[in-house]
Amino acid sequence: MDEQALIGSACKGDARAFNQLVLLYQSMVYNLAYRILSDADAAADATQDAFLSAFKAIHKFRGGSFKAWLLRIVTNACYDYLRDKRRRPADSLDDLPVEEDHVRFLGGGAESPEECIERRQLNRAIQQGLLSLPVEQRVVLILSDLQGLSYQEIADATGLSLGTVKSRLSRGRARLRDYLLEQRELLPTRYRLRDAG
Amino acid sequence: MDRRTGKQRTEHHYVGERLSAYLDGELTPQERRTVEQHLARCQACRWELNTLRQTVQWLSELPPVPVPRAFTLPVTARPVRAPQRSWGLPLLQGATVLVALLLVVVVVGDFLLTGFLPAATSRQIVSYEQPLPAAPSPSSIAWETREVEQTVVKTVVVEEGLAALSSPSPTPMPAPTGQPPAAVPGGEAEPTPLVSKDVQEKVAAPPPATVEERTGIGGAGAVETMALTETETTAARLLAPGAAVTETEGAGSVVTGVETAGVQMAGTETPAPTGQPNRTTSVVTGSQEAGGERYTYATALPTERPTREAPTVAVYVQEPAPAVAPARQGEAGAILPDTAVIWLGVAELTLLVAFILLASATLAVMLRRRRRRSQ
Repeated sequence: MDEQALIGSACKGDARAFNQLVLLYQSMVYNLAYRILSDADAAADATQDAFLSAFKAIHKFRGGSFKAWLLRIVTNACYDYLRDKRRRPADSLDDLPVEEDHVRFLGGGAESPEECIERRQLNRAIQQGLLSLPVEQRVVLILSDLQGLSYQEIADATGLSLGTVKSRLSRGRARLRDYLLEQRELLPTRYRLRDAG
Repeated sequence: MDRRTGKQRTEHHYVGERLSAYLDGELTPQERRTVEQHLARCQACRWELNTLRQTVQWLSELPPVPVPRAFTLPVTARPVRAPQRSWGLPLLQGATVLVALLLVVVVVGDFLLTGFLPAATSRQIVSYEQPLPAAPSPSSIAWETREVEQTVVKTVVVEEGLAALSSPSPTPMPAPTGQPPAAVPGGEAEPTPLVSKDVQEKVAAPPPATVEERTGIGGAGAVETMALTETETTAARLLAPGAAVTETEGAGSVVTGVETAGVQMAGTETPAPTGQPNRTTSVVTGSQEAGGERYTYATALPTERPTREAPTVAVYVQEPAPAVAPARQGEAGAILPDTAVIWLGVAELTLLVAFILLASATLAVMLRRRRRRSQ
C-alpha cells in the first residue's frame, strides 16, 4: 500500500495503516528529535507525542509532503519540550548528556579502532556545537545537513520563508564551524580545521 | 590593517553571506558567477568556503541514531474527528450576557421607579366577602380629628351589589329602602365611581383630608382604637360617600355603639348624615389586626336592614406594614400602576430563571470542553 493510501486509511481511523506510516518515518522523526534535544529519553517522548498528535490531527493534512508535515509536528514537540525545560532551569541544556553509543561509521569496518575513537570525539564535538546554536538555527541545520531536506522542504516543515531558511542555515553553519575551530585543540589532528591564511 | 576598499568589503560581505547557499547550489546563475569571481581573488573567502564545506560534510556524516523502540500506536487509538464549527457555546455565552444585562436593567429600573420600597405595592384586596375578622367591641366612641396625609388605595375590587348599593344612581336596592345613599356633605369628596365585579381599578388618593377618627373604648379596662385611617376613608368613600355608621355584625362579633362616621374633607367636620335613616347607606369602617395582618374594612348596609343580617358589602383592604412612610407609599404608587408592577415582577422572575438556566448550561458546556481537551 502506498503512502497516500495509508494516509487515506489513517484519516478514516485505521490505526494499523497509520502504524505503517510510523514504521516508515520513526527513524527520521526520532533522529531529528534526538539531534535537537540531545537526550534519548526526551527524544523518545517527543517522537511518541509527535506521532500521537499526527494521528489525532491527520484530518488536517491537506496533501503535499507528508514527511514535511510530520517533521513540523515533531519540531513543535521539541520546542514544547525545550520550553518546559526552560521553565525548569535545574535541568539546563548544558547538563544534558550527549549520547555516545550511537557511533556507526560510514564505510562499515573500513575504519580502525583508533579512527573510530577519533570519529566519536568529533561527533561529540559536533553534537555539543549543535547544542550551542540557537534552537532556530539548530533545527534548520539538522533538517538540511542531517536530514538532507531541500530549502523548500525545510520551509514547508518549519513554516519559514526561503530567505529565512537560507540565512539561518548560513549563520548556523558558520557558528558550528567557529565552534569546531574553538575546539580543535581537543580534536584529533585529522579533524582539526585549519586557520585562515 | 584591512587594505580592502569599500567596494571590496561590500563584495566580501555579499559573497560571505552566500557561501552556504553556494555550497548547496541554491544561488541564481548571476549570484554564482559573482561568488566564483570573488573566490578566485579572495583567499579569506576561499578559506571560509572550505571550512564550511568541511563542517557540512562532518555534520552529514553523523551516524543515524538507532530507534530505541517502535513508536506505533495502539490499534484502539482513534483520530480526533474534525471539529465541526460549533456555534453552541458562543450563542449560549451571548444569550447569558444578554439576559444578565436585561435583568440588571429591569431590576435597576424597578428600584428606581418604586423608590426602593417593596412594601409600596403590598396593598391588595384580600377578599370582599371573606369572614369579617373579629371586630372590636367598643363600648363607647370618642371622636377626634386629625390630619391624614395623602395616601392611595391601590386596588379595590367591588362587587356589583356594592355599586348598586352605594352608587348615587337611583337604582333600586334589594334592601327595603331602595334609596340611594346620602350625598357627601363635605362636597369635595365626590362620589367615587364604583367598578364592576372582578375589575381592578386604581383609585387615586384624595387630597390631604381631615378624617374623623373614632376611638372606641373597650370594656373591662381595655382600650381599643378604631382609627379611621386614610385607607378606611377611601374604603368608605368607595361604599358610600358620606357614611353613616350603624351597628353591624360580622363573623360572630358585633360592632356596637357606633353611631356615626363620616368623612370630612378639607377640615370641615362632617356631621352624621342627617337624611332619612331609611334612605341612608350606613358604612362601618375600621381597622384591626387578624392573623398577623392589618385589615381595614368598610361595610355598607342600609340602615333599615335588621342588624342581624349580614352586611351587604364589605371591602377589606389589607394594609402594609405601618412602618412604611405614607408619603413614600403615595409617591411610589403614583409612579407605577399596579399592572406595571406586576408585569415588572413577572419579567424579573422570568429573566432571573432564564439567567440561571443559561449560565448553568454555559458552565456545563465549558467544563465538558475543557475536560475533553485535557484528555
